[in-house]
Amino acid sequence: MPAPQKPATTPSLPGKLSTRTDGGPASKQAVKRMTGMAYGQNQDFENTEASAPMAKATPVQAMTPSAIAGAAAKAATPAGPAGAMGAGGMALPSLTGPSQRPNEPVTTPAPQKPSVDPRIAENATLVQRYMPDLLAATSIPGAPDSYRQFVNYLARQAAPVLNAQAAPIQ
Amino acid sequence: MTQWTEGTLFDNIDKFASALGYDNAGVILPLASISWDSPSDRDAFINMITNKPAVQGPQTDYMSHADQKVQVK
Repeated sequence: MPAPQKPATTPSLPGKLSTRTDGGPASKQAVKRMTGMAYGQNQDFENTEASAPMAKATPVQAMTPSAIAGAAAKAATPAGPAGAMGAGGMALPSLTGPSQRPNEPVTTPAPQKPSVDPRIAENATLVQRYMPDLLAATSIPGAPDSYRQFVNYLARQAAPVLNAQAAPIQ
Repeated sequence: MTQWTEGTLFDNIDKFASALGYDNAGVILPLASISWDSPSDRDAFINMITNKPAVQGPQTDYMSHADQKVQVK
């Protein structure tokens, strides 16, 4: 008689007392009974759990102290194969290692990055696309000065950005 | 060449630029491209978002309006 593909489990009887007949481990987890329910109200939960049994969990192998020490030493190595490299391939400093800036006081503030208004680049893109039409409209008879000022402002502001984009990469 | 006409795309650009500030071209152009039912509808919208009537004129930054609101006499 061939062994069943989905062996039965007997959660109520552990170890040798189990009535399992296939000789191998079960492929699914057994239904676990919930405690603390009122009489007769556990059946719905058991039916729901039994309708989608969970896969057999892989047993967790306990690490020995020597294995833990070996893993820690491997992670602390600066040139470790994984986990020790930051973005761009730059090695991250160790928490317990010596300072990389020994002559710098700890209260030294981080260097200020130049703040660039993102709207300038956005305006430059718009100017590149629409400036011919916007400029043509300034010559319409009766065009208000405020409109001309706006177009001039866009052209003046976007000129450095457009020039930088047009400059050849060195 | 045709005259400058109220309610056209470029007139909308002028009104929104004057109301929202010249730096906000990324908002001005899409708003001006909306086919407003009438210039008064557009001006009512400008009035609603800036709490100031739509006027053509020099740059008026909405942030400076906010500063003026909280001034204590």
